[in-house]
Amino acid sequence: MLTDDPRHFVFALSSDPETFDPGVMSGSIEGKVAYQIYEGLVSPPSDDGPPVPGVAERWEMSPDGSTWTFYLRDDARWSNGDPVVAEDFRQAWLRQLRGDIASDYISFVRYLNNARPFEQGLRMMPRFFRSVLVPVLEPHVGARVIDDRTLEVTLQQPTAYFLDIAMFYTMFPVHRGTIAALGDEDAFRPENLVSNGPFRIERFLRRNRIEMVQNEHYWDGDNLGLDAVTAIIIEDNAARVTAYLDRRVDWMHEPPNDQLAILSADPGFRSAPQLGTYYYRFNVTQPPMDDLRVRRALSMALNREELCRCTLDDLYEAAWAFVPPLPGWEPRDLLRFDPGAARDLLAEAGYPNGEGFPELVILYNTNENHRVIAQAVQDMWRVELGIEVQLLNQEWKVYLETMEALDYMVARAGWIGDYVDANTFLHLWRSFDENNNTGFDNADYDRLMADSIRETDPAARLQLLRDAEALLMQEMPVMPIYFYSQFHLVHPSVEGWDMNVRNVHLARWISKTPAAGGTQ
Amino acid sequence: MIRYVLGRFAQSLAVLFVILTASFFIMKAAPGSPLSEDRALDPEVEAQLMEQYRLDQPVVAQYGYYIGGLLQGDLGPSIKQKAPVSEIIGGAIGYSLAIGGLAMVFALLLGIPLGLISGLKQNTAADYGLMTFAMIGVSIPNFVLGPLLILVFATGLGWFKSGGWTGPQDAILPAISLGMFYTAYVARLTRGGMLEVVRQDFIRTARAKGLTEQLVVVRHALRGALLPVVSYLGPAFASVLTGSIVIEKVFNVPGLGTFFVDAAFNRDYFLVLGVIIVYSLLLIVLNFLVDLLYGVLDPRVKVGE
Repeated sequence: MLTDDPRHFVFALSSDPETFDPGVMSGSIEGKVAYQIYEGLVSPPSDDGPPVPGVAERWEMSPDGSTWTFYLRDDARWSNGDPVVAEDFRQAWLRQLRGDIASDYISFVRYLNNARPFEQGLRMMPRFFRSVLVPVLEPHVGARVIDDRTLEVTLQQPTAYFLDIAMFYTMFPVHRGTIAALGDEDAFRPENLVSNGPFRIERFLRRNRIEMVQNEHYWDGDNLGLDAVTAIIIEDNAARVTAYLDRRVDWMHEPPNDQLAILSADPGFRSAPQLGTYYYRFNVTQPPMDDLRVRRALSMALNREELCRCTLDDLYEAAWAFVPPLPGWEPRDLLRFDPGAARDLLAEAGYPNGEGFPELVILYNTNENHRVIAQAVQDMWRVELGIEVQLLNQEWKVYLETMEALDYMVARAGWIGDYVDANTFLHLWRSFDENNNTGFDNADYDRLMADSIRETDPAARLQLLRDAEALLMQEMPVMPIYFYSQFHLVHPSVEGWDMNVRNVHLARWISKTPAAGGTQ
Repeated sequence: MIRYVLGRFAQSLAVLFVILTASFFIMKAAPGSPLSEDRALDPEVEAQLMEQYRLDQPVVAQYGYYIGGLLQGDLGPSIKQKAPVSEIIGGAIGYSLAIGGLAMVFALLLGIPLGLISGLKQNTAADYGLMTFAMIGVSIPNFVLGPLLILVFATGLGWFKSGGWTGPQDAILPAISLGMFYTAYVARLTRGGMLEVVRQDFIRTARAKGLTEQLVVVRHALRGALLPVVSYLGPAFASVLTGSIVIEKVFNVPGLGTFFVDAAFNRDYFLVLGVIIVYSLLLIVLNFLVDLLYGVLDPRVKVGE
């Protein structure tokens, strides 16, 4: 078996990556492969620590935090032996802004100074003029190549968490030669792919496996603990557990909830908080949810501790605020369970003991876990407030459409943070954010968020985000229920695989001890 | 004969066209977009993608572009997988054919002898036993049988892997799960055919001429007894291939069915249509082949008249 080889790491992946183009990709599946085959300026460490050197061996931040200079190592190489240079990064970012590709995470590139005007200008321009104007306008975008080894990045605003952004796959470099020769699509087909990470793709069999081998030109190859990494694609999470128990994989993620209690006895079981929140949206544009008192009453009537205990086996932490715990951010108790006050609020809103309250409908996408939680919420609201609640499940794409059209009353949702900063959770509720989908439109909130982006003093910025979250919880367009946890099975022979809140695991840090014990 | 084949060909094209057209518009009528995700796309990027896949055009125009591309042999791109549909289908079809083919081989190699034995030993313990087995085989859905086989032969005995595909040996359990229904059905059909044929005059004649029972069965009875099986082959093979959707999911086989189901959930329009084309072609071609084969086996049927 592949897993018997101590230089070969095998992990289960829940789906095919949609693409190997870092500028196009947008999911965690893609990330699980991208972080093995590419390397950014900085890299995620194995734990929750700050980003560590990647292609950049060191960097400097200007005193005002708006200019970052990255010094690239001179031995960084692409998998074909070409050196990795500053222009590879600059072009990787510019091709997203130019619209050469449709970049899901273009918001990350927009942190660069003048990125937005450049992008918008080009989009408005007829195609013919674009080719003429691009060379004129590009130098104004905040990514300047000083020399092959030095990249100066100027940001639109000082951004405290920019290293976390620079670490993300959207900001990975691309091999310009391959793109010039084959075009943006073919250059990223597995057979043509030139990448710069510790590993490169040897073979990709759809819905089957991705075989990766060490990139012989990788600068830190001598220190890698592995020669090969294979991702086996197993969609069903129970089947992933079986693959782990059969020793076909060294690592699997997301075992089914109903198996967690049993699996927790396995020596390879790992669990930790994840950067995510499970919550309900309220459609604040329609009665009765347009009444703040109703929204707060519903939230107050929800005993999150009990919900977590009874329906989730206490595997998740009750959320009394929206932003989950992250390094430098402890969630506060902004909400409380107070059924008496909830009934008072509901009475104040004109529904004493729930009388006259229209029938509520909780919308969720078809899934057993969501159903169980919705039933618990339904029950608590019925008992505490005396209101009737119906459950409505819809197939995923239909549910998304219903939510976007604001054609719901209460809808289940979840959010996994993109980077380790409260902003990734709080920006969603700005009135103009495309992920808002609640109708929540609050000028004070928008202002707090805008101020937080401009603020350079970390403490003051943190306070602005805290204020924004407090306002959010007071206005209650969204009702947090619990914070996500992550669960993994990692074979005891695997070393260097640490739990981290980003849930990013680089094979670069991993090695295996030859004397592998059994799992059962 | 040539006229018949050409006629059938034209007919098939018309059928395919109707299937495609209906599928296209039904799919477009389904709510939801291939581009929607829980993390909403940037509006400008979404517009760019809509333009790229021509989703911003009226449905009729989209249909025109699609048919136009098809006529040039272009099945279009998979919106979700960011690869040509033809490439995805090309990579997946081999697995489905392997499992489907093996399931059919299994069904015929096991089903025909069982049916013959049953038919020749009518109303004996062997007959009752075999027909009970056949009844069970027909009744157990493959999505129940599959996990049962996994439980016994993969998890329990460790003879096979519980899923995935590393080589031909991984086709065995899926093929058995898929083929069980057809084995049982073929056994019942063969038995029925046999019972009917052995009562015919020409069999009595053969016996009267003093042929051994073996020769009577193999040379005279079998041909007639297999006619119902043959006419069932076309639809069976087609339904084995299209019916492998569930089995592919259960055994995590990277075949067409897996892509078909996911593509439907993802509203990956062109991939869904591409798989529908493949499935339709399989059905049409197989039915046609059976019609030809039927003529060979039964002298009373003259193809093309």
